[in-house]
Amino acid sequence: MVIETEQLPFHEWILWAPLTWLLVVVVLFVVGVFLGSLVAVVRHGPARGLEMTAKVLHAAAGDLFCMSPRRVWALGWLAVKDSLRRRVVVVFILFVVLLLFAGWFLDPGSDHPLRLYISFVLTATSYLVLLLMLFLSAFSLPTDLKNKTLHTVVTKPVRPSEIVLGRMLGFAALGTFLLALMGLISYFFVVRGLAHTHEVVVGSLEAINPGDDTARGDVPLKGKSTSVNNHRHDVLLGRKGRGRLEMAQDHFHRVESRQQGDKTVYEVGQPEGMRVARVPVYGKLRFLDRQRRLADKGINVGDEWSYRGYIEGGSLGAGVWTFEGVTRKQFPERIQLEMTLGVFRTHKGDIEQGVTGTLLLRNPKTGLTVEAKVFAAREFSTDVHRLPRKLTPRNVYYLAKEKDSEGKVKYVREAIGGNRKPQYDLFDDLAEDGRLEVWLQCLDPAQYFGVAQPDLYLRARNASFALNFIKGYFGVWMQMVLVIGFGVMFSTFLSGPVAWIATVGMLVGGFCRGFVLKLALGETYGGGPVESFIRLITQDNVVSDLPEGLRTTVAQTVDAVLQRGLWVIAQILPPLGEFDCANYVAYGFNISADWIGQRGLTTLGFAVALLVVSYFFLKTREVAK
Amino acid sequence: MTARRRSFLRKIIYGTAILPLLFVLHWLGSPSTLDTETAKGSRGGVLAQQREKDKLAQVYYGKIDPTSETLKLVTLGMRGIAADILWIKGIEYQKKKDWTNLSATLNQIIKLEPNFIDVWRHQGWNLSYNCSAEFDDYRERYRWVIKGIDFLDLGTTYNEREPRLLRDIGWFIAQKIGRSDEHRQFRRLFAADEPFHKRIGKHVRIREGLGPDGKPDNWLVGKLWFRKAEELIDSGGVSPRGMNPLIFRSQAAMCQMNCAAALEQDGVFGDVAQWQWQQASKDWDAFGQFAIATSKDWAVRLGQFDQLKKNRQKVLDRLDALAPGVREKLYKSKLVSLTDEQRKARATPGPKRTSEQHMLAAKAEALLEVRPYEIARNRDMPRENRPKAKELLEEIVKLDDRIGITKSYRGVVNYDYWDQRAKIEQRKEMITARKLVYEGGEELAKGNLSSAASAFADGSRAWYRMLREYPMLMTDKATIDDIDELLEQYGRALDQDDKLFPYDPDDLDNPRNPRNFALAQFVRAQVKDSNKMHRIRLNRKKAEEAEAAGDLATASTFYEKELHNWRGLIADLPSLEQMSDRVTGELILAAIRKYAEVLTKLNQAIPDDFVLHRFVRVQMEHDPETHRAQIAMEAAQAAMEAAQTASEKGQSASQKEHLAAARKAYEQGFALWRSVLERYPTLVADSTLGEELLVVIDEYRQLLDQQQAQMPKDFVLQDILDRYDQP
Repeated sequence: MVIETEQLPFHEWILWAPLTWLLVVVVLFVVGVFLGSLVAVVRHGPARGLEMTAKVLHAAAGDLFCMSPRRVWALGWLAVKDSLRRRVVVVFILFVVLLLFAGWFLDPGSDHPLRLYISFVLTATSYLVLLLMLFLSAFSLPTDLKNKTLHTVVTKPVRPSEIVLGRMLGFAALGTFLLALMGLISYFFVVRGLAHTHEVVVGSLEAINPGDDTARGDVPLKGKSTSVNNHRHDVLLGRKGRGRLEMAQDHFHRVESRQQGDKTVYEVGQPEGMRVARVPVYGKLRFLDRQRRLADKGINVGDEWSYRGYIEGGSLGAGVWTFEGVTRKQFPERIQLEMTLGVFRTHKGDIEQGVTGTLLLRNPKTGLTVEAKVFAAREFSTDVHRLPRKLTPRNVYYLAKEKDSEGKVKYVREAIGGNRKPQYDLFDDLAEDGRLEVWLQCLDPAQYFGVAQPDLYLRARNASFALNFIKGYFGVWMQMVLVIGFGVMFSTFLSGPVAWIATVGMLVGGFCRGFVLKLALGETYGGGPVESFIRLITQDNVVSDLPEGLRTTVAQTVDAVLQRGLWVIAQILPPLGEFDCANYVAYGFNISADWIGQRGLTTLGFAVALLVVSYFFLKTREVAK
Repeated sequence: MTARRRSFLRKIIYGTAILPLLFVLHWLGSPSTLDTETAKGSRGGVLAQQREKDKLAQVYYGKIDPTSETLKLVTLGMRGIAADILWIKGIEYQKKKDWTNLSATLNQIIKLEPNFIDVWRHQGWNLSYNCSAEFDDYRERYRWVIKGIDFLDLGTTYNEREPRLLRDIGWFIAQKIGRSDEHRQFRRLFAADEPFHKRIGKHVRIREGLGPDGKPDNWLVGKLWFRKAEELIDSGGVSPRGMNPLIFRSQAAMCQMNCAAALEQDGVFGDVAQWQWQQASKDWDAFGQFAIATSKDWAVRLGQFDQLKKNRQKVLDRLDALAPGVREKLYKSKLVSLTDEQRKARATPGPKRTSEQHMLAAKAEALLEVRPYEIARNRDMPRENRPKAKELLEEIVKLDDRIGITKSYRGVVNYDYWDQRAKIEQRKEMITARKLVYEGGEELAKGNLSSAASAFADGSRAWYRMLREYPMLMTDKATIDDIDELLEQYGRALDQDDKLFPYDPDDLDNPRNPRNFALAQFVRAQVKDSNKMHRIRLNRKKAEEAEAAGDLATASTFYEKELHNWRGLIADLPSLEQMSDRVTGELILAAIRKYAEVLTKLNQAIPDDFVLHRFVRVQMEHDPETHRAQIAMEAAQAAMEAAQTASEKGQSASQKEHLAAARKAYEQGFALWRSVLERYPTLVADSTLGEELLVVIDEYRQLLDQQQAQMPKDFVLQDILDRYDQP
């Protein structure tokens, strides 16, 4: 699975993320207090103004920290009832209708049908729920204010913070209920949509071992299945008539045979192995050049998409993954290494043979290196290598780390001499303290392997697919909470349509946050806004430098200022794109606790900040005073 | 006027304006209705009638897909934009090699634009040609080629009256599968792809596309699709839409040609191959009889070219008969007007003409041609015959027009060549030639070098006979490629067996002599036709001129340039290195000797990076003199070993005898090496040989030490010592 942005471990993320949050909150708070005080001072004079500011802050502390859960519950329930009155059930009906007709567009005969189905249900759910919440949250308060129904609430002893929180929680509860319902239906839709069986083509069955008498009935057989959903399987039957339909379209079927009169009947089960949630252990990737020196990145073979770096074949070049925590506990029986490689050929070579490569295991502490496997690469598919605990390698040597004359880190091969053992233990000899290096090399000269960090991982175990599916919906839920937060916040001081537009802007900005950040950091082609504008009107391309001179200097100086502003905006924008975890579920990768923890805390951080901001905005409204 | 009244008036005006528009709308857009039991149907408005006339109604395109129609409706007229967005997404998925989503996106695009033919054609091509190439495994590549074909196949169900899609399917099945780098693997996979055969079997009679092994052959199945496209057009009402009819109509016949050629590549010969070529010939003749529309008011039939020429000649004869003797008179007068150079050029036999003479002769022939109008309008034409002559002249002009266009059309599809090729290929001798070469290749792959060489030699003779019978093949690219492959494989077999191409020194230029390589003259013809030959001659001429003028430095430069040109030529014709044509090989050796001679005169050494080291080394290694020198050296080394043994046994007399014998053998060997070096003077600069000889000379020195003798002052390999025996 492609992961273009590296996922930090939680323990690293937690060191800086809360601090950044705190910094932004403090800055916003200081700016808010300063502006509020300024307005108060201008309107009421310095002494009175400052006193009023202090009073507001004091009241805010009370309102925010002394909320009554009972009142919040009541207000939340009111929001739910209000939403139900607005016919939110229509969205649910729409969802069901979409699922009913989804079969028209989804092709169960695709190469990876589960990916299509999962992407569809998660995308459809997220679009519908986000749109619904966008409307509800943005129009709810302004409509109440317009209809003066809110006045009946504020006449009661409720705090403005309770009104805001009640709304947020009410909408969130309703959304949660809808999401849960949609998730449940989606799960059955996916399972049902992909359910199928095949029949064994009896005429195709033949003995695996030539010379076996197939008429005897208890010999191993191979054959073909019928074609269903645009695929067929190879059939392998054991001596007892049990076997399986081999992997195709990411799944296999179990098959059993039984005698019915003088006929053998084959019963094929439902697809298996399709709905998985692999738990991967990712390593840190570094590249080595053709002289086995550490390189900044892999070779660029001219691919437009620079996600993968390439390793030169027939040279000392390698991709080196360093794994942590490779312990007996995590891998009790063996290490299952899975990889997805890109292959680039500079000449045809042997068309019928895949490009060959080798996997080396190196002990980072001692430099002991063993050749674990020589393989023929399979592109665009997950290549599984099971490494037993006891390895009997053909090649063993030391790869010592040293620095060359230019100060670059280089690995030098040293013979093992008389220290060679007949067998090497994965944990005793190679991953002594849980650290293990996996080296990938391409053996064929002038051919290349393309890899990115997530392309090679150790598969620890399988998690529950159903739970992973729920986690996928949790990602949508967090997006929904953020939309509700922003919608309610904007609706506290803007009219309904304007609040809606502002929330949509925030939504779009949130989904495009990565691009905005790139713009802010000057990582896009064509420069900042002014420079881009100049290029537009002069019809200049985006790559060449602008001619030096006053115009360029002024443009780039203004851009630098604008880009800083853009950076601040990018920091405030919710990273909605990062919450999308449909690919994890679709590609069969477990959504880690790290992922959930980081996104969960981010959502909480935004929710708290939005609650406080919403409170202050509502407080400024006449009705809440 | 009150506001209410103003509003009322406005409504009246609007209503009045709308009313005529409604009539226009009805006139334009009212739908057609069918006849019922009680009422007659209507033809509908202008648009409905036009739609019916041009067969633009949805029902005329093909299958109506409810999904597609629903999607079109729900996009509220924005389907173009939706398709564009999806298209951009598709490009992004393709960039990121996300094939699952790319396929899904294409499925959505075609639901939105089921009748946009370029979408089908572009994306079908994209899948079969671009996406398939992204995969490393040839089986995956094949799967994506088939995906592209399936995509187009789906397109034909939505667009049943679209010949371009049928043609594209034919093209993909024939050309993509049959001409890719992996065509052997693709053809094999295609023959075994039963599910695909089943799918396309719904549209074409796949049984008619079976190869000799009883499995579908991609070329023959491709042919069926081309025929299907032709049938659709011939059924009427469907235009070829941008397809060049000339090329389009040739494609089915070309499939048959390619099928026959591919079967031979796969090792199918004999009656089967002959039948396939006969079929190809028939298909080509049928294509030649097909009337292809032109911009004139008549159609061209490529196969009628000869008939047209005959007709013209007949008319011309009738014209001549109207004015007897006029043609001869005109010819004579034209002959007199030729210049001396033109006459001389005409008199020179073709092969001996210079390029300038060729031009002069061609110009003279053009001048000598007596044109029909010159006869028809000649004063000597009897008055009473003049109206008839005018009539015949007009007929000739018309025929010339037809002949010209037919000739030009034939050139577009290379009609003559394919006509001849199909006829030649069905000859038993040709099939035998190909079979022998194929068998040679098989033997070579098994490592049976002598059988391989023997098959290649027989194959070469068979090819020679065909080339002699059909000289047009000498300039045919496909034949040249085939023979180049033969030369390459034959050369490989000989090389592994440590041999050069065979030749009879006493009968060198006789290709019929079985001891000679039969295709040596073909190689020579290739050398002669090479553009490098012109530069070789030019540099040689300049070098000789400079040498004659005593400017040896310039001469050596041009000789060196000539050798560079020879190296380029050898790169183009690698078999020359193994003397596939000994005449050319000797020319190269002569050039090398000349170069060495000039350098000797200049007192300069042969450079270490001499350009033809490899060529010279190959010749040296196969020279009998070298072989004798090596035997002498081996004898010397054997004697040295015997002397050593004798020494260990304390037999000093025997040791002395052996040492003397060794010395004699060494000196004989050195003398033979000297002779080899004289024959190949640039070998002195070949460091590999130099180092080898130095080792032997060291052994000789040790021998002399043992004999307490000195190195002879006139040592024959002193130049080797001077060059390589550095401290």
